[in-house]
Amino acid sequence: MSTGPSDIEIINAVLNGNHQAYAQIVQRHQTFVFSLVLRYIKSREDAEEVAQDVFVKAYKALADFKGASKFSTWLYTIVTTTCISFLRKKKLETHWLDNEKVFETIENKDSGMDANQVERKSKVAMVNNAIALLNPDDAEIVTLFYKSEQTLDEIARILGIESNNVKVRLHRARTRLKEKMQTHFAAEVKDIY
Amino acid sequence: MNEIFENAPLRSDDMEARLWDYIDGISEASEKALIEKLVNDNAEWRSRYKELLELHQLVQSSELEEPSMRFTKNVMEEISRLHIAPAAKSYINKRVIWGIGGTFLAMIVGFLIYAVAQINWSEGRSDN
Repeated sequence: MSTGPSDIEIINAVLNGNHQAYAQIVQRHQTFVFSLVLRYIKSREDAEEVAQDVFVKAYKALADFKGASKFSTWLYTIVTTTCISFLRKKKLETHWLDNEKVFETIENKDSGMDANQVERKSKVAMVNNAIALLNPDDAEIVTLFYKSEQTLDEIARILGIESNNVKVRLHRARTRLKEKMQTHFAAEVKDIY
Repeated sequence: MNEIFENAPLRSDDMEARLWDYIDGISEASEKALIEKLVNDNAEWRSRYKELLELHQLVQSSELEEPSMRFTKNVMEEISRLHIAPAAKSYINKRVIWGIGGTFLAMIVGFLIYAVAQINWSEGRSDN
C-alpha cells in the first residue's frame, strides 16, 4: 500500500501554487523515466539530460493533464516523444549494443575484466544486458510491460498504437530477447534451461 | 479433447502466443483451462511453458537504472528559472508601457506644435 499523497493530489497542489511539491513527482518517477530514456539513448549523460527535460516539459504542460489517464501513462508518453525528438535533432544512431563484435571484444579481454565475469554470473545482470541489446522499440515495450505497472491499453496509449498491436509487439520483443540471451549469454542460459 | 490437439499440428508461434497470454494472465477462462490441461498432459507444451515462464520471471527480475543524485535538484532548478520570467511578466503590463510611451510621444508632439506656433514667421522682414 502506497503512503503519501497521490500523483493527482500533488499535481493539484502544484497548480495551486506550491511549485516545490513537484519535487515529489520527480522523485517518485525519476528512476523509471530515466530507465525508459536509456532504452533510446545509450549515453547516460544525454539520457539524464533528456529525462530532466521530460519532467520540465511535464511541468509546463501540467495544466493540460486532465486526469483521463494515470499521470504515469501521460508522463511516459512525453518520454517517448521527447526521446524521438532528441534523436532526430541530434541525428544520432541509436547505438544499442547489437554489435556482436563489441561483445567479442569484451569477452576476449583478459582477467582485468573480473568485474565483468562476476556480473555475468548474475542472472539479473544478464537480463539487463540482454535488454540493452534490443532495439529501442523492443526494449521500451518490455520495460513498460514488466516495470511500469501499466495495462496493455495504457501501453498502447503511450506508444500511440492499437491495443491488439501491443500484444504482438510484446511477443516479438520477448522472442528477440530470448534470442539475444541465447546468442550472447549462452553459458548462463544453459544453466537456466 | 486430447485428440484435437494431438492430431492438429500447432505452429510454434501459435503455441508461444497462447502460452504468453496464459502466463500474462490475460487468457479467457476456457482458454486458461485448456492451456493448463495441455501443459499437464503434453510434453512439448510443458517444456515450452517452462521455458517461457523462466524467461518471464527473469525479465521480471530486471532492474531499472538510477539517475544521478542531483537529478531532482536539477529539475527543480530548471523549473525555478521558469518562474522568474513569469513573475516579471505579472507586474509589467504591456498596456502600461504603451500608455507611458504614448504620453511621452504626445508631450513631445505637443511641445513641437507649441514651439512652431511661437515662431513669428514674419520676423526677419525688414520694415524699411
